[in-house]
This record gives sequence, structure tokens and C-alpha cells, in this order.
Amino acid sequence: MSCKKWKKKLSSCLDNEVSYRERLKIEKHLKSCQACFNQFKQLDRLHRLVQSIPPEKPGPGFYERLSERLSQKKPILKKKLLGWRYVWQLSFPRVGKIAIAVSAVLLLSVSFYIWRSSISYEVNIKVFEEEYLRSQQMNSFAGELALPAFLEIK
Amino acid sequence: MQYSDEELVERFGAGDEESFKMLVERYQDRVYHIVYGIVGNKEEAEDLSQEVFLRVYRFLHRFKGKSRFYTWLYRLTINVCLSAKRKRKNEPAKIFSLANPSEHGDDPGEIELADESLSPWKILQNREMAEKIKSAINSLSEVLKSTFVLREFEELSYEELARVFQCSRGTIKSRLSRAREQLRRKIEPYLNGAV
Repeated sequence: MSCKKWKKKLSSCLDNEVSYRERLKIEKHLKSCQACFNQFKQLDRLHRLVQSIPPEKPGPGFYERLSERLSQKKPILKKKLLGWRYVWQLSFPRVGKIAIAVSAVLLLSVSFYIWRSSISYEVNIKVFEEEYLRSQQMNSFAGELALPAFLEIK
Repeated sequence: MQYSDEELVERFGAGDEESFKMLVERYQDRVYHIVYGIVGNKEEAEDLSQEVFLRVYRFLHRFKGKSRFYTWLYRLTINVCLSAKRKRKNEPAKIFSLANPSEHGDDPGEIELADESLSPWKILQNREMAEKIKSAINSLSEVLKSTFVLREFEELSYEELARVFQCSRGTIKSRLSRAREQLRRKIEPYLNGAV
């Protein structure tokens, strides 16, 4: 690979935006090529110098001046929320909302399960009772039919 | 209570003005720093930073939450700066050049350099050096400058930069490489001199 191609990679290498394998290749080349090594050093210095310049900040009262300009404009809101929806939207952070929603779902699921199991228990008792009575009737009916026939055979 | 950006956006969408104030206070310094890096003039940086937040106020409903809020905000910031530059191209008399900052009140005396004990580079003690760097940055094309400023000032990853500029990662890689190469050539003597 020519030095021109290696030099194009120096910037992303400086930003740590190359793969580990590619980084090793670049480092290997830099050890053997003084021109590329010097260029990499210069880019590194440039980066450090730019970083050393302290950030510029806006003057005090930035928001107040903005507010004045804002008073002439109105936002286009997604929707107007009223009543409980407004309270819901604004009262809890997202995590709180998720926790409330999960709790509500769990509570509903448990309530439903309890309700279902109590209903099915009652139904089972009723069915059992009906079955029992029916079997009793069947037994007595079979006894009535079988006994005379048995006596006749005897 | 500390709300995330997305929560503040949601609350503002529901009509809570205080959330907008919180967003402004959270990002005003960063937006100003980026704008200043691109336009190189304090007065204009203030004006354009305010313009950015005015647009946020008006168009926040367009933010769908598909990306992080700050990438949306930085894209808006870059758009405001570029459109201001385009407008100024039509007004030649008002073109500002960092090469002559004193014409616009930004005399070198106003530039504060980093605490020397924190910087290994003695050369930064020289204000002329800082001016040279700023001037070199200002001489880049708008696209290269914006990409370079967001990378160096805000330390956005290539992935985030690609989202801000809506281009590929390869394009970002190439832009940064070109920007740095141009800057390196412009201030090469200073780079060799630094220890």
C-alpha cells in the first residue's frame, strides 16, 4: 500500500474509529515510515491544540433574551392534553409510568386468575353433585331390573 | 427531578413550557460553542444560537424520537449555520472573516487560553497561535468545518456524525481526513514547533 493510502487512514486512527486489526497494521507502518509517523504526530498535536482552546459560552441572560423572541412565536403542540391525561403525561417520569403500567397489568392478571379459579371450583362442585346423583339413579334403576331376573334364573 | 432529553421533549409536546427551558439550559453552551466554531463571531453566534432554539420551539413536534435528541438538535444547528452563511453570501459587504476578527469586536485579547498547567503545549500560551487555529478552521469549506467542529468540540462518534449529516460513515471519515489535512498544512510550522 502506498503512503498516500496510509495517510488517509491516520485521521480515523486518531479518532479510534478503526478496527483493532487495522490499527495494528497502521502502527506497523508508522514504525517503518518516518514521513507517515511525522504526519500522524502533527495530526495528534493539532487535535490536542484544538482541544486546549476553552469552549466559548453565550453571555448571561441567554434564556431571557430568547424568551423575549419566543413570546412572539407559539409552538405547534402535538395535542392538547386535558384532565387525567395531562396529569399522567406530566406527573411521572417515563420510568415511573412503566412501573405503574406493569403493576396495573400484574394486578389485573392476578385478579383475573383468582376470579377464574373460584368460578371453576363452583362449577366443578355442581357438576360433581349432578354426576353423583345421576349415577345413584342409574344404580337403583339397574338394581330394579337385575334383581327379578336373577331370582327367576335361580 | 432529572428528566432525560426525550422526557423533556414529551413534556414540552404536552404543553409544559418549563421543560423547554430545561432543554435550553442543558444545551445552550454546546450549541453556542458549535455555532461559534462555525461562524467565528460572538455576536452572530449568539443570534444564530437563539435562532436554533426558536426553531426547536416551533418544530419540536417534528422530532419523532427515532434518533437521540442531541443529534436532531445538532443537525438543526448545522442547518441554521449553513443557511445563515448562504444568506450572507448574497450580502458581500457583511461577510465576516476570522482573518480580521478585530473588525467585528473579537479582538485577540478576548480569547482565553486553557490553564497552562493542564496543557502540555507551551505554544498555546501564545494567543496568536489560538487565532491561527481558529482562522485555519474558519477557512475550511462549510461542510468540512461543520463536521470537524462537531467531532472536535462535541466528540461525536462517526456513527452519530453520519446521523447528523445524513450520510455514510465513509463520507464522515473522508471529510475529517480532508479537514485535518488542510488544517495541518495551514499551521504546519506551529505543529512542528510544539513540544
